[in-house]
Amino acid sequence: MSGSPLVNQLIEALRCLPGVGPKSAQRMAYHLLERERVAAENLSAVLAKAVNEVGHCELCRSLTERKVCDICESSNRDRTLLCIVESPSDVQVIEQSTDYKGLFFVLMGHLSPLDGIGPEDIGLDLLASRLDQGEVKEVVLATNFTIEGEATAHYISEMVNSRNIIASRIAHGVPVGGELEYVNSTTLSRAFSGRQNF
Amino acid sequence: MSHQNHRVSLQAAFILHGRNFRDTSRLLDVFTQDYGRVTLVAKGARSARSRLQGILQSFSPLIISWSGKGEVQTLTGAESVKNSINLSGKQVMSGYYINELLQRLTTFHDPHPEIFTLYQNTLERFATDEDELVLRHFEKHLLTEIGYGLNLESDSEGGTAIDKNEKYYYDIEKGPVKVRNNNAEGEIIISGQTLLDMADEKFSCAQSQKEAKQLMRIILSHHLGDKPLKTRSLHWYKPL
Repeated sequence: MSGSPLVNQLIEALRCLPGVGPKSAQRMAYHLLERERVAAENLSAVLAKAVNEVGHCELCRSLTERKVCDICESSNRDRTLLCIVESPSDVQVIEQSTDYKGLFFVLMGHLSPLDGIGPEDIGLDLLASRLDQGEVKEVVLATNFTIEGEATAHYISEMVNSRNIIASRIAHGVPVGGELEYVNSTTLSRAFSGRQNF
Repeated sequence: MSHQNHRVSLQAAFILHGRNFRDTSRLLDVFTQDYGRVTLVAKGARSARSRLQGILQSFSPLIISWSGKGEVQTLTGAESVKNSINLSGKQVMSGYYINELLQRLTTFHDPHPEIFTLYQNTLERFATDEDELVLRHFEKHLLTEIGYGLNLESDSEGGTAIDKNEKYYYDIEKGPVKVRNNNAEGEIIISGQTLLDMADEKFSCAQSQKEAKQLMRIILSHHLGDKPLKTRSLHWYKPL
């Protein structure tokens, strides 16, 4: 540890980042202070600005510094399609790797009864009023394939079906490039029960 | 538990609850066949390359190994057993409920092989039997195994057999008491038929099913203390 209290404070602060332990925090701090002063100043300014200004989109709850995010505002997206995901990073990967052209709704988590996380905590009251507006014709459930994600998808599907809207779930099965021998048994049995005409 | 390093291999187990721990690990509350509940850390279980990702899920029968000393030990291996149990959406909610009951009514490192068998059978029965019936069966046998078994056969005052046409209230310390002139003020009144149905594990009518649920709720909350069940406080069954 360095003799400077401020440097130590910086190292300690950097440890809030995921995957950063004491050693890498120290490397980052020294790197910023010794070699990248300009970049460090830029980082601190942007970080402060982002923390102050970025909030949640009023429509999809994803992160944005405006009232409504770019995707929700865009005029060339299919407004009858609504995709439900657990986190803003899920929106990013879907945007980058698929040609999905509908809108999103971000739960910021999943239902977890044993942790006391219920429907309101993941914004399902907001989703309910969104569905009641009648614009959405199909809801695509893209929550994670964990037990909690499945329970969340099921709960939302009941909300959706009770309003006579179509609910669909993204497919699951053997990954592209995957060899059957190495796929875990639950995935493989799901892949078989969900097989399609070819 | 002792503080010497010990190693357990190939134990049948179910995960009751898990939460993320550090960057890539999971901290698991595991119910095992011969060692009762244990807390295990699954190191690296959330990393992209981990084989454990799809395996460490609740309600899925597992064979696990672990080692270490102290309260939290380290998971060293896990594989899912063939014929995994598939619960539908609503059954998952019921599954969470029985998981929470186990968490609240059993302690760590207290072996309960009978409850393990009960738990496993209960999850399997969700596939074929009506949910409410399965839950009442689980609650009744869980109470018996932890020493709070119910008296459903005879009037606790007088010892006569339960009459299906009489009304009773349930004294938690003693058992059913026949209702006569205002001795049941402030108690939940149930019919003798309900008590007999609970003993036989069937429901002869909707009324008996409802009363059994109410009675179980009162008895369980007595044993659970002041803290309500989380799975019950949320509005699961009526979607927004």
